[in-house]
Amino acid sequence: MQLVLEKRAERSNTIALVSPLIAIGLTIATMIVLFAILGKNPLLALHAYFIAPLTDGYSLQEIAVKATPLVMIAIGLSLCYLANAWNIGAEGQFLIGAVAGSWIAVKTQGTDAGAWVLPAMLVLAAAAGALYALIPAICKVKFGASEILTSLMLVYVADLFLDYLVRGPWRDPHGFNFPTTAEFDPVATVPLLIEGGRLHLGSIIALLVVAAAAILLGRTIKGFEIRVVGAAPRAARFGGFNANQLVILTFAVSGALAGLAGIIEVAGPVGHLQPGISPGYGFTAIIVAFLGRLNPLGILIAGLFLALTFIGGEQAQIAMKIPLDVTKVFQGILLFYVLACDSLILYRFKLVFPNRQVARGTH
Amino acid sequence: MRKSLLALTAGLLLAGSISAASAADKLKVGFIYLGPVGDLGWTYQHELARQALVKELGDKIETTFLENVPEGPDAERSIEQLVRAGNKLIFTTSFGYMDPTLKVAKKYPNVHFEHATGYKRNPNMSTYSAKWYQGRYIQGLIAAKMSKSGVLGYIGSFPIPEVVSGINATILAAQTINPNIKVKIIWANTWFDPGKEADAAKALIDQGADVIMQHTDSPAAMQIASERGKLAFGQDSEMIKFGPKTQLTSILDTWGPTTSPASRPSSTAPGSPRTAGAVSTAICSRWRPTPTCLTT
Repeated sequence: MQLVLEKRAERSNTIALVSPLIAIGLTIATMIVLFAILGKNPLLALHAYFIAPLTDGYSLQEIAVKATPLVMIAIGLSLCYLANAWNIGAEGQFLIGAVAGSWIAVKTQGTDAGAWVLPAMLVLAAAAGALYALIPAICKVKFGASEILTSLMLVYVADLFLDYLVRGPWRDPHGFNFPTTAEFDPVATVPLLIEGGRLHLGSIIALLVVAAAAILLGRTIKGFEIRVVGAAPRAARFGGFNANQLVILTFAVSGALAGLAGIIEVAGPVGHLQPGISPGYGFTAIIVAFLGRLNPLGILIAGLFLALTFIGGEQAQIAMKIPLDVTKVFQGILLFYVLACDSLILYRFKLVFPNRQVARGTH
Repeated sequence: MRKSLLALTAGLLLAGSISAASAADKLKVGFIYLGPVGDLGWTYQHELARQALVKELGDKIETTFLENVPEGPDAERSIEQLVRAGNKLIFTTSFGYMDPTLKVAKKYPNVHFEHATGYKRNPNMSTYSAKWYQGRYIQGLIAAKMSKSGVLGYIGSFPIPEVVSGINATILAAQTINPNIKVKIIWANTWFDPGKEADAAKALIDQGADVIMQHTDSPAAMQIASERGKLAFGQDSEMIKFGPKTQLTSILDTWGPTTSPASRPSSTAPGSPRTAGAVSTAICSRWRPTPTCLTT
């Protein structure tokens, strides 16, 4: 008897829907074993990871705060990926957005600039993110350069540019040389939704982005074009859809969303520009986009779920003294199972009974 | 050169603690670590201090740490998580936690914060530090005596006062031995990144440095110096096992109790500055506990 992977005649939509759930189930099963080996009570540990953070308002807020940039970036990336345009550089677009928006905040610091400051920061950040994303898009369309490489390399450029600014021209004169700008003025800060909490307006914006993406993909011709170009490039060409135009468009939109996420993070939870404003949001968002099956609602759930693992991991560290590495192992295992289960969309397990073995069975 | 975390904690226990008789009133102490506990440098030394605290004060306290917390947007949440888990004394052990610590401190006036090496304070947030530049001065003297090329290599982290004062002390000391000595500096722009630290050490050696000094947390530079047959100083922690023939000496950040009586739990009245440390160079915390700290 042999277990083989057999290609399905067509992709299984049922599996496509339940595969993330199977992956999460397998991850939890593996974690139970791991916790038991570590000598921790698996049930208590799982409670600390998944249940405790959902039971008080503070942690729920923190989950939303953490998920906000992830969801916003992942929505943009999903548009790219659906159209077969591989934007890997959302991290860089995030940073450039943060820098561009911060420019207004830094220049208006200490002046009596009015309520226009924050909206202007948001708009400029989105524009800058879009322009930055257009560099790899145009290189791809005009010169056939691999957008995977160019967009990735531009991350480092953005990182170093931000670094230069906060160490040089924008450095807080009272900051004892630490690489950071001064704290932004209140007019340049994203307003909080709950007094004394950390939930901010950015989370609302992220929800609006999710809704807009759902409408775009589900209800408009543009959305249809994006999906067709990605899924069936030949059919799209016959249909008269311009794939190059879509590369430009999706890159611009995804850059704009990443840039917006960048300034919201800086003008929100952080409150000033400094290096290290992103613990890899632009890259984690790639996981979120795929975990959410490139579907806006799925991405929202995936973003919240990944945020939950961060917050839960921290609470497990505090409550159960479970090392941080376990949280990282956990996220790695999750991704591994997601990819593994995805192969079931196109393949299926089949038990093969070779004749030889049957014959042997008659002895 | 050091101030004991133990003394601080014991001071807080004395300050309000008398009421803390039952187990439920155990003083919960939290730590935010920049690196992994196994960085073998800065964070490792803090972890040793935490273990020493537990050993010394036993069931009077309960400690928790969060490791690998970046000096970025997540720091504020991590600190607040510790507060919400009931910690009443929290050590935020790196310069970059200053603003997030201050934000949380203002929000929770009944929790006490000890922040490493910063300059912003609050009635419930003080700064702890050490006069590292005195150790650096001695290292400068040794380095100048040992260097044949007359070039010292210095791996800086961030150009903040704590780091710049160490570099200045090194140069001033080295010049008393060899007026023509040169100190080459590379800014690694990180506290802990073994890869970058190793690259910096290689670059410095390629530029002619034969004694390597560092203000970063890992033993990577020591290993490179050892491979290349140069000399180096350990940082934060004893690093001699990474370069048995390489390490000249090391600045040890012994935050926990030492053999010196000065670092035993201080009985100084709370609120007044006090000196705690192994040698007379220890500096004082602006520690001002309020008597309410443990009764709430």
